[in-house]
Amino acid sequence: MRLLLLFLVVLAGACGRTQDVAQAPEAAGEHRSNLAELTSGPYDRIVSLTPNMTEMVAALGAGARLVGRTPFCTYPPEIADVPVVSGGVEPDVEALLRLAPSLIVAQKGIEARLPLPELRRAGIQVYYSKVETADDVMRTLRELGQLTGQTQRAAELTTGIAAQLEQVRVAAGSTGGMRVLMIHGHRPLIGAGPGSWGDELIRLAGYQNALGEGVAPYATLDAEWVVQLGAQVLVDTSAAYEEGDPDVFWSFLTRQGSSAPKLVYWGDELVLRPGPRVGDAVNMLRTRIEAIRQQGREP
Amino acid sequence: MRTNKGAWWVGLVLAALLLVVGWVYLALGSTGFLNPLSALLGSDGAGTQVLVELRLKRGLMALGVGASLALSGAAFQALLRNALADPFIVGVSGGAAVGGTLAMLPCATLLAAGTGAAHAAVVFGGSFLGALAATVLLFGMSWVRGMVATNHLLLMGVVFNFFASAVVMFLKSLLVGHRLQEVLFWLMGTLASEAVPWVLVVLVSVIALLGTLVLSKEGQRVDALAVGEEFAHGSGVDPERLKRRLFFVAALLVAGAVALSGFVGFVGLVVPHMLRLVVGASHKKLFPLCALGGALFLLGSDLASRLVSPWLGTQLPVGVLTSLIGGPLFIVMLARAQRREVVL
Repeated sequence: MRLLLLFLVVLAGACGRTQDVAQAPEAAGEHRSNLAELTSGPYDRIVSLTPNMTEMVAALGAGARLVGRTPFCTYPPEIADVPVVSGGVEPDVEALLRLAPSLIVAQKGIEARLPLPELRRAGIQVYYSKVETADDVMRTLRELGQLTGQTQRAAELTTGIAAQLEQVRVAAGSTGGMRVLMIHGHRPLIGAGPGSWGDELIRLAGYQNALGEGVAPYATLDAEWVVQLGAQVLVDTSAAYEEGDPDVFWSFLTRQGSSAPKLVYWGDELVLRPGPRVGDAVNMLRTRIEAIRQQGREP
Repeated sequence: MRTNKGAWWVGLVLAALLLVVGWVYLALGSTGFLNPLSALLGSDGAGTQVLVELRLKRGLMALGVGASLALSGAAFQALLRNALADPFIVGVSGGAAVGGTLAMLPCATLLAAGTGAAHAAVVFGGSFLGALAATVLLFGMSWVRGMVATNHLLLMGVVFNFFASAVVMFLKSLLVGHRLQEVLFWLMGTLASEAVPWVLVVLVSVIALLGTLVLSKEGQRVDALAVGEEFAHGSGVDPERLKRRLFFVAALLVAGAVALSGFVGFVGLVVPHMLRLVVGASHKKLFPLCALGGALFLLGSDLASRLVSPWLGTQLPVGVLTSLIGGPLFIVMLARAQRREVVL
């Protein structure tokens, strides 16, 4: 999972995301992918260069058409036998050509590292899409649906995600916005700032990101900054792989007494991957935070 | 002709500035203003905790590391008779980098099973041992016919640093995720103290203090050595013994500083030169003033880094800030020295 975190952080940097773009409505979708440049599918040999794209292709029922993936693509378990072709951020072009895919799918930013003209001459199309919000996930699912000929399945998936998010939104309506801080690493301390996937999950779950405007998407923090933020809940996604007892690490916070945030240790990759399980991720985040809010600690 | 009186005044000014900056460092931070006195006396519960566990620990790290770097920079400049010598030139830091990076490999972190503080101790230990191993290796290789050949030491140090840099790059290529981030931030130079145990902070401060005392005691003999080995002989100084002592004390200072906070650049280059321009080249005066000046420079830089970070939206590693300040400052100093026809 830590591989995935690095991958996503690098990807976020590669995308050079700005706040305005992050908040852009789905209507601006045509600017966030290159679907218009591609010939219509369906494509039958697909290589995925990002884990969230792999998940989306599999969720669309086209997992059997995957002929290549990155080592970070670990979900769903059925794709374990698909050959690994690339480290993701630095694609191995020779290995890609050897697989003779008809379509390569990747998060926007990776295409800059691919020799696009050469791939086109070899008959390989490259689809890339910016996937940073739940709207992006649903748009990308629809576009991948077109490319794989699974438009019906894409419609079902996006309707399901929208329903899950709406359910959480309605449930959140009455509880008000608690201040939540999501942490992605201890050494250094990295927080999910505005524009990050963690920020999207926090907001969709009906809470307020303790890291407000003007903070980098993946900001390096110091301990005192974390104290100053006054978060009511701290979600630590790195507790699963950081050395040592996270309770000991966070003792500088918990010794603050009643003003200390409640700690949620959540090392599940679900929280880090902008993919078709976004509804589940938001739901689970809300369930865990509400449990700790109501009972004072995690059940 | 600069006088002892002038050096005392400079020392007093530095000490006063250190007190003022230290007070501001303890009083100001992301959580706002704290009265250091009332927080230290325990009349402000949460404030006391922020002051002691966050600001005081980090501040002591800055003092110990800053003093160590400036002192070792001055010592290496005298030993190698080279104005460009800094704490990271003779390869000791390369050894520390290799040792520290090795300690961050997954297999090494198994040693730290338990707490984050144990992990910090393993990284510190790996880096410190790496620095000491490099010190012994470089010393052995520059030991020619019963003498420390300083030219050999300098050249081998530079070459060893290139080699160590390649090893670190290779090790980085093996690391992923949070471990890679940890190595990158450590190499940039950081005073992040959350996971650093107090004992390491105290250890580096003690090394800095002892280093100041030992080097200051040798000050007059170092002056003779700085003129030349023949002159030192003529002045009744055993240059070989002195070179060995200088090298090992400076290497110990570098080992402690790098192991605790990575590569904080320019402190060891700028501070000794700046003070040399003010108080002259007498090492008896220069060494203690370097300890004060280095501590002040790093404490002030870290204060600026901490205060500016919320506006930048992310934390600025202090090593980046010292280089951003130190680089232009060194060029200005060099230009002024040239105008005044003074040799740095």
